[in-house]
Amino acid sequence: MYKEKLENILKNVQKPARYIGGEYGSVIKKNGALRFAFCFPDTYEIGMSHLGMKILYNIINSDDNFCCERVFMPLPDMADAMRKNEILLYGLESLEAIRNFDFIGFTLQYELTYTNLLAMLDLAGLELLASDRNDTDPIVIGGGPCACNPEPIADFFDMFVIGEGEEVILEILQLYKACKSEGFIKSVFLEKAAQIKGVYVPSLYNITYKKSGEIDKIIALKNAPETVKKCLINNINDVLFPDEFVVPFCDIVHDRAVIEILRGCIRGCRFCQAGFIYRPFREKSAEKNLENAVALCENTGYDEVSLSSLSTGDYSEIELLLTKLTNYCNPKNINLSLPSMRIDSFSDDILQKIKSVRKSGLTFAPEAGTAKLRDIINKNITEDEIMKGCKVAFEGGYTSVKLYFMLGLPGETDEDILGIKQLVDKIIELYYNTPNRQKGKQISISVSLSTFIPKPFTPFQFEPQLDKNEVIRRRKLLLSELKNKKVSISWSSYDESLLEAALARGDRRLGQVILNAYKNGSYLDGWEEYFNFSNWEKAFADCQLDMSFYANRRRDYAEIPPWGMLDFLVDRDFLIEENRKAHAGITTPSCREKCAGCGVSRCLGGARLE
Amino acid sequence: MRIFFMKKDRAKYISHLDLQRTMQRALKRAKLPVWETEGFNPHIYLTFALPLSLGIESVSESFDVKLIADISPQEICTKLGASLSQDLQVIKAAEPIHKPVEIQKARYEILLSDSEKFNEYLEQDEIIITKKTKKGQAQLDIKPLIELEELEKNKIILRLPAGSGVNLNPLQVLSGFEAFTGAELQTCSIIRTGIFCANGEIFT
Repeated sequence: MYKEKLENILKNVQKPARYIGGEYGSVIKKNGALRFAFCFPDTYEIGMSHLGMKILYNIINSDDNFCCERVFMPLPDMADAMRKNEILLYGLESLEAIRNFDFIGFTLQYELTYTNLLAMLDLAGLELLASDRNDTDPIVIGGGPCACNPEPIADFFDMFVIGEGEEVILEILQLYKACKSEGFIKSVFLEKAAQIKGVYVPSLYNITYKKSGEIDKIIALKNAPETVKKCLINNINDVLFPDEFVVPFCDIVHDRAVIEILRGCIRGCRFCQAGFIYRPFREKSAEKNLENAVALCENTGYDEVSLSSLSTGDYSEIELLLTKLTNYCNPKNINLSLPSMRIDSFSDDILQKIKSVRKSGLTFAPEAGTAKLRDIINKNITEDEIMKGCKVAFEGGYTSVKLYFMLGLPGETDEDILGIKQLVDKIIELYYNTPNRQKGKQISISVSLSTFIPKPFTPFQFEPQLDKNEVIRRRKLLLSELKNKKVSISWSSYDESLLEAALARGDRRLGQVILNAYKNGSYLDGWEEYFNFSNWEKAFADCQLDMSFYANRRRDYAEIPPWGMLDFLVDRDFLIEENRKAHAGITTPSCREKCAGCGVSRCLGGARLE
Repeated sequence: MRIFFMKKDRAKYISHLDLQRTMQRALKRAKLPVWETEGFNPHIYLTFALPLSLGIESVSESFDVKLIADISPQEICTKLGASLSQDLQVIKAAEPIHKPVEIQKARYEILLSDSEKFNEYLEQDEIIITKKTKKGQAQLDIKPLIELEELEKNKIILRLPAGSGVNLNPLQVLSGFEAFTGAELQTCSIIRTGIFCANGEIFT
């Protein structure tokens, strides 16, 4: 236990509270349980805001045989102090080195955290490559959205969970426990684990490449399944949802209670990975949601509860739910927060219900400036709906709007770029023509531009990312047109987007690139102040690989993708069909209007969704 | 009502601002009948007697809170105690006697590996430290402010000015000591063991 050693270094690091644990709600277990280190490869403030970690922390700790501790990425001041004082990466509950744990689990939220994984394994005192770790080292397991193409980081992991981890995680831990009681051999455990639904063991798959650099074959070894199907929880209403959170002492990004009101999305926006990999659409009952919210507020003392989903307005009983929640929250001065509202579902009724929410600003994501381009991406929002949503907001007292757009979407022309300006102008005009708006206040609009990044398991997985010069030209075009004191514009760095695009659809050969980049000093790549692009360029060059091969190339429908051994239950033919429709500018209605036949519902043994 | 509590072990890394929020949430979890401010952003109103620097433990912290229903001090202690993390412990609840503005001194128990030269340090003609002020940095002689109560091989007990007037942080005394000996202090723990008003009366 590092308590004494930590005493000496914590007085010299920034915000020491995030490195010492001891928060209300943290679970400390007696010895004897198998130990799982849940690692979030980013800072405490970001990781502690993440709902998935809270869910799995609660599930693992609910079983007496296992115990789960939290681990986050230390910032450089702390990491340096740890190295200097020979403190290995430790769990916040026991303050003991995680290299002595049974499992090290990483949640893979974002491609630019890949070097952090290595930094954390390194700080833990473990070998970075799975093949260099032995039978007594912890099993390193990954899950989360980026596990849908884990190939770039496959060399560092023993196994991945594909899909929803809530139920399968205990099955994996139980298998481990059984294997441990009969003399543990890692390879034997992994071969057995590969038979569990949703478990992908990368060492059991052999990948060969063509001269062109494309994948030639994926060969499953030792009885491992040819395709690993994602696992799903049985019933969203029955799955264990935490009734308490670890309540941090220091300020974190989202310091509030969160309830997951639904999972999946009916919309099918063609760029959106979450919209495809979390299918099918499932709703928790209003009663269950209220029960979760009440339990969490009572047990944490939070004064804000947030409704988590991909699109809160699509919850079929949204008004009933909001009535129930406001009846509970208002007398207790608890704020409600609805972060994921589509502009077309933003109605006066809903606004009335969430009146208690502080009217700071509204965020909407039209994604594209014209109806034509919104059709291509299947965003299915009309300009009228955008105007109607804004009008409701302005009449409700809102005076600032944040709009998200993407640059470089397939089929985008200069006309679509100028369409962003026209849309912004219309919203400003609407504001000043709304008689019931808040008087005496200027409107402020912030426009946030990101670069489109094609992601696996979306209809746009075949698309190239637009190259740098063209993205910059289009951005400049918009900036030169959109000159207005009421509008502020921000954009993401192209280089970061390019790296994200290369990693998102990369293959196993990128493992060496990530390793090189890390060894040359790259980590915390998601933080602008630490991001070093030339480091990455060098790392790619040293491996004779090209970022643009992964990011900027159109991929043939017939090409085997690096994630070809994984199955997220959405048919590949469906994704191809959606891609064709995108190029033809044809939209696909939401799952609620008409089943598009993506294959998920058939996989579950049911008919098409009606 | 004034609630006295200890801030020990891991809890010493909670900053003053974070401690306020921690207590507000604990009071909510405990479902105690406390008054909340009215207006746009209602919240539980707390007044802490004397802020404590990050990294210092204490057995004599307190805050005041307004109650809106009758509840026994015993019940407050039980309920709030159960709603706090293990390193924050409620000592007692009682009607306040002193006002926080009456606070004049605080006592600190300092445990360190070696206090050998501490006497020598105090016997200097003056002990100049650099203090941050609103206008930048200022040089200050802290010698007249330090009252030594006890000095043992591994323990120093100091009484230092605190409260709304002159203030001296024990960390400043120790960094002066480090500068004097030229060596970094090893495993040094500081505990605030008492808060006093005029004539040495214990703040209650």
